[in-house]
Amino acid sequence: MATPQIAPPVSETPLWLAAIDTSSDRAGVALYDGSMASVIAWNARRNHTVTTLGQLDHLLHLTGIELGALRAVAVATGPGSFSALRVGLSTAKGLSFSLGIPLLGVSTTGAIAAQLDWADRPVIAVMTAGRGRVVWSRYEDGALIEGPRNTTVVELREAAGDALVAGETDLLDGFDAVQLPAGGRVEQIARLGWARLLAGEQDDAALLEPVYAHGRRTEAVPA
Amino acid sequence: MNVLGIETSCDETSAAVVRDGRDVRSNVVSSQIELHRAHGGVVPELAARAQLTAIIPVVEAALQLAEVGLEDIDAIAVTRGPGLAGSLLVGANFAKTVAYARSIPLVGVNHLEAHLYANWLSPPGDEPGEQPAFPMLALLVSGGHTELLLMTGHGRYEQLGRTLDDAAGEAFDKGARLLGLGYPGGPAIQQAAAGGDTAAFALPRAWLGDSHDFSFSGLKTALLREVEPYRLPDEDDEPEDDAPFRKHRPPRFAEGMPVADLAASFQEAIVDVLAVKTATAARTFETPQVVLAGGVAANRALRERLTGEIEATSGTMLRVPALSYCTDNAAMVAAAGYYALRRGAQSGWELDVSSRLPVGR
Ligand SMILES: [Zn+2]
Repeated sequence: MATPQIAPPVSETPLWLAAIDTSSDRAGVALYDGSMASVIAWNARRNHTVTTLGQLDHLLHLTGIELGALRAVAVATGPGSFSALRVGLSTAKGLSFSLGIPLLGVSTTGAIAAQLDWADRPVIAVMTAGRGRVVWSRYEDGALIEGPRNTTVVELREAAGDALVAGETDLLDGFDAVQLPAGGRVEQIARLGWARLLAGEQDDAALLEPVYAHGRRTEAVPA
Repeated sequence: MNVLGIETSCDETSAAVVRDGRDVRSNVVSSQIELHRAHGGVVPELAARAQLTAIIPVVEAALQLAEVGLEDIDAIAVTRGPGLAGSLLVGANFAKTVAYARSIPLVGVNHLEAHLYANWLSPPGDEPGEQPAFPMLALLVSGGHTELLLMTGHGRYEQLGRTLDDAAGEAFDKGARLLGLGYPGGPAIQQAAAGGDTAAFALPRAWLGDSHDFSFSGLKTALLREVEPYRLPDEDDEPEDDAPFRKHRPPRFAEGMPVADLAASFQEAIVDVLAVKTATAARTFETPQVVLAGGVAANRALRERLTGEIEATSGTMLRVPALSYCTDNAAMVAAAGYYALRRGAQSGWELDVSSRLPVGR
């Protein structure tokens, strides 16, 4: 996916976007002003409720950015762990509501694919869904072509073809999977959210919810 | 001091503004009963989803009804457990972030303790009445809890007894399902029991000796035994739909099943045990006040029976909060939070939720 061409903000006042990604154990927060992102990535090990707001507070302190300088909040909407995603969304909704700033949902697989904008073939962005299943989407030239689909790893293997496979590839033995750096995903949540903000978009903060990609009924509630 | 209360422990999303722990300025409750009815009970994943989309509108409505803005809120109290983890975390994360962004104190509240604080609340427009007197004996009965609690002062609780298996409200739900009466079970059983003979079926009571604990699972098994002869086989020609959450299919019965007598006998067996054991505890602990709390407090037979038992016990009186403060609501959370803050309690940004949380913790 080509990096969106973003004009610098016209306003004199500093403009910061906070990004939150709790799609899985790989959690992240970021602050972004259109040029350089500051990122904290950590292994939340299902303790997203305990750690997420503290990490955002920590990042604000590290960068010396005042809470009042935030102009928008972007949040990963999945696919991912339903419960973990709702931690990030509740936190992002709290920020949007109390600071009166726009909320922007960003696809987690979209943020994975955006890290592979150099790829000369289709990209399949994968999240694990527990019990040997995966949720994935296919991208070509940055555009979503297929998904999100909740399938077995075997079904993904059949569908992958010559695509570049990336994301939560732990389950995916035998794939030529691309390793992505920690924090890369939340940085792209910030960048993609920023692009949406400058395009004048925002989501309804009350109604925004995760992508609920189901498999068969027995797989309805991923761990 | 204005406290914003937030309650998302199960299938209700609620927010309230309460002044000085007693004066309810607003108490908004968004119920999901319709959402869960098709499944015959609360589906945790669906409950959590509904919490996430209800939280902002409900908090907004509570502020609006109280005619205040966020800048008029001095602290936020939020339920941290017990309850459904997926539901709890929506309220907890939203509450802590709003408190953080506004730089106001946050306090996590135990949902069971909050039910007791319903007794401090006075409805909008009313002058706060007399303070509840300690020690206070509370029978807390709902879909999730059946507890006998002794409250000896603010923040001081003793759990005297609890259910060893099903909660009373859960027993009503399961009984209603066995009788094909629908969800929620309490109101369905109460309605079906009207005109029925409470002594028609000799259903068992688990007295459990001198213990203040309860048990309702044997009762459910006994009801199943009475219903079994009338049960027709399920129609299994219905195609399985592909929806991610299973739909509830009510059982089918032969004609002539004495539903009213069965419902009345079943309800009586639950009410009997609850009322008698509560009165016994009131005598044992010589509490001047007994309170009924929780959603099952709406059951007419229980109210009448408990009133009778407590009136027959000298030196104690029964207090029942307004019904809207008995079922899950955020005003009780705000009240509990106010008294906790006054004792110096405060939560940090690492506040966690806990699906199992005993009273006093
Ligand atoms: Zn309750």
